[in-house]
Amino acid sequence: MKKKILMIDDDHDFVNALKIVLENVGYQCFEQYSTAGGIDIYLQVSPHLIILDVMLEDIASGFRLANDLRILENKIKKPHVPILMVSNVDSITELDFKARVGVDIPVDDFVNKPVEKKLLIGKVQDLIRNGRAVV
Amino acid sequence: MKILVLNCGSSSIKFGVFQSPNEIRMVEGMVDRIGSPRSCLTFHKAGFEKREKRVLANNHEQAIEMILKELLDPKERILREISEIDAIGHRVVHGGELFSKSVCINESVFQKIKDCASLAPLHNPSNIQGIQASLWQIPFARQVAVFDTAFHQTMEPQAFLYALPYQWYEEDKIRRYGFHGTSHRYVAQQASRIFRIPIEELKLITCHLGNGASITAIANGRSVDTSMGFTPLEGLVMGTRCGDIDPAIPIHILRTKKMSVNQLDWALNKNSGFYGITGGDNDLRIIEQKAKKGSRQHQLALEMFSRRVKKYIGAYAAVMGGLDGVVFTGGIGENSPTIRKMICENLDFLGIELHPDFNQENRICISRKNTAVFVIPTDEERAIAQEVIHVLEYEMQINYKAEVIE
Repeated sequence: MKKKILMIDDDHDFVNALKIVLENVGYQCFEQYSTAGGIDIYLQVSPHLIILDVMLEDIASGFRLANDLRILENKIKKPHVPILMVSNVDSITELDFKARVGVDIPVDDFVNKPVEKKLLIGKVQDLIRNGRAVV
Repeated sequence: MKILVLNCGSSSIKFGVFQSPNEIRMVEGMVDRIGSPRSCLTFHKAGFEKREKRVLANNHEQAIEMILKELLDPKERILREISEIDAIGHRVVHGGELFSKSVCINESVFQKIKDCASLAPLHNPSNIQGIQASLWQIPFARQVAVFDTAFHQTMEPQAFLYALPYQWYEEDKIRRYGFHGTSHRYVAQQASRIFRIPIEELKLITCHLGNGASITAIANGRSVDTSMGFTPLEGLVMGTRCGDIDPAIPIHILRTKKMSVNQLDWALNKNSGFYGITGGDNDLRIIEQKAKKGSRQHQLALEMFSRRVKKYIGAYAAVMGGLDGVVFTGGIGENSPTIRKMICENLDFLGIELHPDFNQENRICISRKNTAVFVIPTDEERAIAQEVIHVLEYEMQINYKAEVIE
C-alpha cells in the first residue's frame, strides 16, 4: 500500500511541483491550500506525513494547525504523524528550528523553499520511517 | 483576549499587556541596552511600584524571552502560560505606500515589511527582528503590524509630493510619508470624544512634541498633511534633529567643510535641533531652567521651536480652511505649559487663546476661546492594542461572511 502524504500550503505552484516529485517516487499525495479544513482532511486521509507551510493565512497559522493536530492525536489516541514544516521566508532558517523542533514547536523537521529534490525526498523518507528527523 | 504589544527599537523593546474589552493595561515595561552587558528590564504592573532588574539580553530574541519570563512569573499573575497571549501587536515604523492600515502579518506582509527596510534602515530591521523572535517564543499567537506611516497614507499627491524630478517618486518612491501616525490618530480620536462630535466633522491639528516632534492636519478624520517627510528629519525643530532647512545647505557643507556623507547625516540627525542650538542640551526641562536663569542661547532654542510649531499651525489652518481644535501631546506637549503658551501667543486670530491657569495646571482643556486646545496624553501601546482588536474583529467578520456565502 502506498504511503500517504498530506500537503497543506497556499503556494499552488509549490504543491503541484511537490506532488509530481513525490508521486514519482511512489507516494500518494493529497493537497489542501489553507488551514481551514486541515483537521477534516487529516481525519479523512490518515496521512503518514504532513508537509505544512509555516505561514498560511497568518504568520502563526501553520504552528497553530500543528498544535491542533497534536491535541487531536492525543484526544482520539491516534499515533503521532510526523510534520515537515516548509517556509518561503529566507530569514527563517533550519538553524532557527533546530533548537525548537519538538520542544516549543510541535513539528518534526523543517526545510526552506526552494527545496532541492534529493534533500526533500531524503527528509520525507526519514520522517515516514522514523517518525522524526534523523539528527 | 490578552494582547502583547511590542515596540522594538534598535537597542530596546517597550512592551505592554492589555486585556480586552476596553484594552485595560495589565503591565508595561521595557528592556533597554540590548546587546550590552548592562541590559535592564523595567516592569510596571498596574497598581504596583515599578521595578528594575539587570538581565542578559544579547539580542531581541533573548530580550523577548526575558519579558515573557517576567510575565509568566506566578507571583505577578499576568500569564499562566504563553498560549494566553491571543495576539501580538508590533509597532512597525515604515509601511511605505504598501500599507495604509494595520494588517495581520502573513508571509506576504512579512516580506513587504522587509522590502520597506530600505526606507527606514534604522527602524524596520529591529521591527522585523521583533516579529521573527515572537514567532519562536509565542508560536500560536496572531501578529498584527501597526505602521507609523499608515495614518498619513490619506494625503493627496499635492501634499505628499516634493517639487523634485517626478521620476524620483515613480522609481524610488521619494515622497512625504509622515510618522507618529499611531499617536496622531489616537489623540485625534480622544479629542473627538471630548468634543462629542464625530471626527469626520472636525478640523484638528495634532502636535506630537517630544524628542521627536511632528504636527498633523486632520480633516474629515483623515491626515491631510504632516510635518515629517520622507524621513523623520523634516519639519519641526526637535531634540537633536534640525527639521526644515534650505536643501542647499547640505550641498554647501559637503563642498566646503570636507565632511563625509555619514558625518553630515550625523550632524543633521544627532547634532542639531535643541542640542545644536544650545551646544549640548536636548532635555527641555534643562533648557527651560537655563533659559530662566538668563541663558540667551537656551531662550533662543525655545523661541525657535515654538515659532516653527506656530508657523505650521497657521499653515495647516489655511490648508484646511478652518480649525476646530489643537491637541498637544508627547513629552513636551503634555508637560510644558511654557512651550504651549509660547506656541499659542498671537494666535487669537485663529480663535486660540489659552486659559493661563488651566494651561499651568496641565488640564485637558486649556482654551478660553472658540478654538479648543487640548492636552491629551498619547498612549501608543494602547493605540496599538486597539488596532490589533480592530484588525482581528474585521478578519472574523470577513471569515464569517465567507462561511455564510459558502
